Amino acid sequence: MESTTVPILLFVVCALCLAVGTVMAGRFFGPRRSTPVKGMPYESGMDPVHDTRRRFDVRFHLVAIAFLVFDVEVLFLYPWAVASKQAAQGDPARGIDLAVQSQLVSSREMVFFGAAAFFVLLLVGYVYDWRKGVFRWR
Amino acid sequence: MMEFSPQHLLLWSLALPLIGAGLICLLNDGRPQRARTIALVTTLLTLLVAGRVAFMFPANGINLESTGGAFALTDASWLGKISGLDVRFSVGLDGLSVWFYALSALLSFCCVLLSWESIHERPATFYSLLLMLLCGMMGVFAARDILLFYVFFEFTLIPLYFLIGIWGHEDRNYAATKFFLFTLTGSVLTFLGLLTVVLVNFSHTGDLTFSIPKLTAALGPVGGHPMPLHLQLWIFAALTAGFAIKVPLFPLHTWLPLAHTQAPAAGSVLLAGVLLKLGTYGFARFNLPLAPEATAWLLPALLWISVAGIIYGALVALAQTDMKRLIAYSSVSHLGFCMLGLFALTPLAVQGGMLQAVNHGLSTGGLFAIMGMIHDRYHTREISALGGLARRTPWMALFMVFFTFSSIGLPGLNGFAGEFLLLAGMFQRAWMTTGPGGLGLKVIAVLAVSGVVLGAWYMLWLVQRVFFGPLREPHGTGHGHGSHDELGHDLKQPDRPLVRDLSLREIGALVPLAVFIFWIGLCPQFFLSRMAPALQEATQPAAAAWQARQTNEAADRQTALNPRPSVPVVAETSP
Amino acid sequence: MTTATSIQLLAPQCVLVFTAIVIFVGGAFSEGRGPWKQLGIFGLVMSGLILAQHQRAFETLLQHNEVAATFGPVSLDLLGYLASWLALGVGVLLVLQVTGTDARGPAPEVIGSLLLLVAGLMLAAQANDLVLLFLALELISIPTYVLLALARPTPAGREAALKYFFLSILSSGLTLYGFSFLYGVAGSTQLADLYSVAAGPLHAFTSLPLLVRLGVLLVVAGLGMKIAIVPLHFYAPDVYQGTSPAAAAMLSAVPKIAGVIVLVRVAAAARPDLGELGWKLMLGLSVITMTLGNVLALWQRNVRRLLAYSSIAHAGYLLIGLAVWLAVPDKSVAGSGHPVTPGLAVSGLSAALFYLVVYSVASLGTFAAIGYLGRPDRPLDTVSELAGVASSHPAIAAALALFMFSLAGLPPLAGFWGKLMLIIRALSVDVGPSAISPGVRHWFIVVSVIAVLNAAISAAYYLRIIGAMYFRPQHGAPAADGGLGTKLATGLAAVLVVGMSLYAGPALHGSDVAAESGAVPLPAAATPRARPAVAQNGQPSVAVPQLSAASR
Repeated sequence: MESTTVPILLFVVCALCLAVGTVMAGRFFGPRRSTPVKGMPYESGMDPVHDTRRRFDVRFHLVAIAFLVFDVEVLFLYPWAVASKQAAQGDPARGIDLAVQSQLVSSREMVFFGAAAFFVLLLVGYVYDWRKGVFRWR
Repeated sequence: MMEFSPQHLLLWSLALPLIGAGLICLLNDGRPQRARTIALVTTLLTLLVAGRVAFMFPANGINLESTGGAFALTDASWLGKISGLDVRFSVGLDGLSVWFYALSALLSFCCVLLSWESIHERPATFYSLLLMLLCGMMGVFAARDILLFYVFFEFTLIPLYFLIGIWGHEDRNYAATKFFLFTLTGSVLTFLGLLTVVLVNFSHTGDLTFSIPKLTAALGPVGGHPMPLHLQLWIFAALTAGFAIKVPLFPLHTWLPLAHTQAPAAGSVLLAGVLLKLGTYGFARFNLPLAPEATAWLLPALLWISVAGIIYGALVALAQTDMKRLIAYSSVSHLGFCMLGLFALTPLAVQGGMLQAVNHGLSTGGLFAIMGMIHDRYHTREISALGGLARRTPWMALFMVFFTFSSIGLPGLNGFAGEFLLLAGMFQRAWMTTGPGGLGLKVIAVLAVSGVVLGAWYMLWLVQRVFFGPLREPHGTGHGHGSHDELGHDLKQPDRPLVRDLSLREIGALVPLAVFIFWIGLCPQFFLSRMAPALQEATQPAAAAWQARQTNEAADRQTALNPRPSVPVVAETSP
Repeated sequence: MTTATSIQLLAPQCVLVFTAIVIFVGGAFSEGRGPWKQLGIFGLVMSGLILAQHQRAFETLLQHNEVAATFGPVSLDLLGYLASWLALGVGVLLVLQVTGTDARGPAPEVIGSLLLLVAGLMLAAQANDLVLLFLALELISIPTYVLLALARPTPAGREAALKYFFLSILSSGLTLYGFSFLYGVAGSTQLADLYSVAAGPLHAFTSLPLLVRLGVLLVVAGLGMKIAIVPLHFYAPDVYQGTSPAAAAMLSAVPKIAGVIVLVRVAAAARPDLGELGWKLMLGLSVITMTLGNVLALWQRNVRRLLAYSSIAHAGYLLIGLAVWLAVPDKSVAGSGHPVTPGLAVSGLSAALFYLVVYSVASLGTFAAIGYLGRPDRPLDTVSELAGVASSHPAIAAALALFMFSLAGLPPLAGFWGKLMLIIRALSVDVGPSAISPGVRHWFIVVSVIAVLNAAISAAYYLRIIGAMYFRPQHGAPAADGGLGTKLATGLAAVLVVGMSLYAGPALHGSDVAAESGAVPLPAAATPRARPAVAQNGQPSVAVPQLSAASR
């Protein structure tokens, strides 16, 4: 009980201290020269107050979505890495190791082909995007 | 037809129309000749088979115990036993259904002859729908399983809906839709009532059966599981919703004149001749045996509704300017007689009522057929546009007068046998009932007799206006109806007689009806003896319940000084 | 064993996904329109052949008298198996009838999305785990967006796609939120664990049942949008009207089937906690849904809009079955003390499933016929455009009339058997020997009356379509340019409807055994995973009769 909560509490306390501390430090020690531009909220360098209807080039969306898709999909590699580590350590009570335990499939093959299938799927998506001209800036 | 056992014949009579309908669709070449020939042959064969079955029916209706209470019984599993539901394909005839079954085949045969030349548009569809309707009508009377009954009951709607909607007159779309929705709304409630009956039986016996005889036996007073009165009343109400619309009982009749007026001749004939009888049949088959105490409780109200239909139908018929509408209202009146007989619950009245239902099929069927023939010739249904047709078409006038006499109950013809029996039975009932209820019943009986007089008045007046007096024909019909013939061959004979009298074909359509009108009129015993045992069985519980109520009420009156709570006396008996 | 068996069980879905990938990539490489439809059908058939192999697995299990039919997140039960067949059938009807926006036929993405949808539906049918259920629902939703976006290149079509997109996301969110509550209570994503927690002896004395009810309520809200239950139905008319007939056909069948099956899975697991909430909720929603759907359908002129309201109404009928199922004590709920009607116990669920099948086929057929009568770039819109179709296209008109009568529930058509099963089960709650607590009495009778009256109301607008086709003279014949596929789909659906009408036995039997297997979640027997403490105390004394049903 304690062994798990104390580190978390410590972490929270440290984070709070750091956040409050830096803000306070800046407030006390930093020079303040205010201009109207500096007073504006920061929004990726755009004018934050404007008409809600605005034309925005659809090409940006394509790039953003392509980025998002591949970026998020790479996230799946983390559970894969954790699972494969457990497989290598031979912890028999978890996840895909049941397959190993019952000797239906060797652990290395299982882990390898799982990841390979995943990459093939990513590749298919990539090829589809490429053929559809997603990466062409036109 | 290798074997001639009644079972096989009954199955053949149900299958033949479907085979015929299939053949018509397969061999369709877009012209009427082939379709109508196949239809004629099919209906003729069906009529022969059905007639053979009907006349093989045992003369006094008994000796049926060995075959499960029905004649020509076929009983086979239909869906298999699915989650305990045992839906069976179970067909057979008993005294209640045998004549209606035969009547369906007879009228369909006449209808094919009747439509011979008046149907040009999509003839194959017309005749195949007609045959499907025939199958549905015979099936509904033959069904011994509640679900099968309901399937056929509703199935008759579909062909008739198309018959009215496609080949009807000017307002056909509205009429067909109204007819369909009215009857469907009622019959879904009937469906609920039937299912409730099944489930009540299930809760008593643990047998999830849909078999009509089993249910009637188990839930009847002798079966050991009669339902409590409040449940009977609900079930009676649910069943009545559908059957009363079909009959149609007085306040629910509004779809009928419209549907009759707009339907093609064949549709009107079958609608009046057979489909209205589904209501009467349903009352006799389900309401009376399954809810006898509710029937007794509601009896005065039901009799009042029936007699209201008699008088109202007759009065409205008097005011009509449209011939078909007039006959439609006369149907309301006549069906009121049938229901009056059924609800009077004496053996005489019940037999008379059911016989009258068959009679009405024959005579009104004939009348509608003649209306169709007039319409073929003059393209009008207006009474005021016509007059003195007896000079032009003496044969038609002869048949018209004949069917009119049958309809108003001339002694020697069928109408007399039915009406006499049912009125005699009604009088029996009225004068057997003592106490405050008796007076109301006497009033009803007297009013019903006045309905007969009114019936004679509007029918004879119709005949007089249309067939006698100076000749009057609509403009533009001077060259005969042949000029409207799309096939064109009539146009080449400009000097042909103006309007033809009945052709042999048309006489052929009417003669079978006339034969049976004579037969029933002269020898009703032949028909009654086959119906009587089944009718007795169906109505006896309700009659006994009514008797028991009477006794109770009399006992209550005698002990009126004694302040003990009594059964509330029915309010409807004192108008 | 778990993983390998799961993959074996998922092989039909894998085949579909693989085919879809081939179509997607192949479409990207070819300029013109290739044989994508044929390839799609081929994929469905291959998937069916592999699915047929599962039959043998069932037989093996039965021979060894084993009940351990759950392998990790995927279950092997008859509900999943039969629903997978339904999904494949729906897939065939959809792939056949889908058309492009012009004469060149459908885009490869459309066919690929359809295959993915079907794979998602099969996955939803077999999933036994909250995560996988959600994944399956998304595998249905996301291709739906693509399909709707590609269906019609008109402003109305885009509006439809966008509307569906936003509402579907909302519904996914609600479902997921509900799932999270269920997970919180069960401590596991496995439905079987939820069931064993809920059936535990001390569970009722905690506040956890409340959380389960909240979770189920949210799930119902989320799935209600997919099934088109009334408070969440409002997108349906606009979307159906805006999109193409084939896409509307998909919307009327696939999300509905998926929603009902997922609802059944979740409700079966959470059932011990639902109490009276379950059937009361279903019954109330059912009354509102069918009445509103039918009454609003009466005023519609646009065919697809009319059918949208009709599909809402049918969702209402269907809920009666679920209500009956939740109201009547299941025979495997031990110690409930109520007499159990043999054959009528789980059959509320069976009736709902049968109705689902019957409705789906008729609805798909209807949209196929409508699609055939229109043009790819301009579908048939108003009811009056159907005038005189009976003389210009008698076969299509007859098929459409058949579907209409079946949807209206006229005997002896399949829709009648569906309504019969629903109504008789609803009545049996009150009238039969299984009549349960006094609080329930008469509600089901009232709902039965409302349902049959609704059937009569619905006949009015179905008759309008038939009346237009048969009774009105033809003026300006419809284009009837939908192509061979729509015609085939119409014919296939008509054959199925006629088959289920005249010989309803097999379909009824199938829904019976499916209901029996779906009524209780399978215990996760194959996985020796640690269970939450409550569950270990309260191992349900369920003898899991699911697979024995197949031997009947």
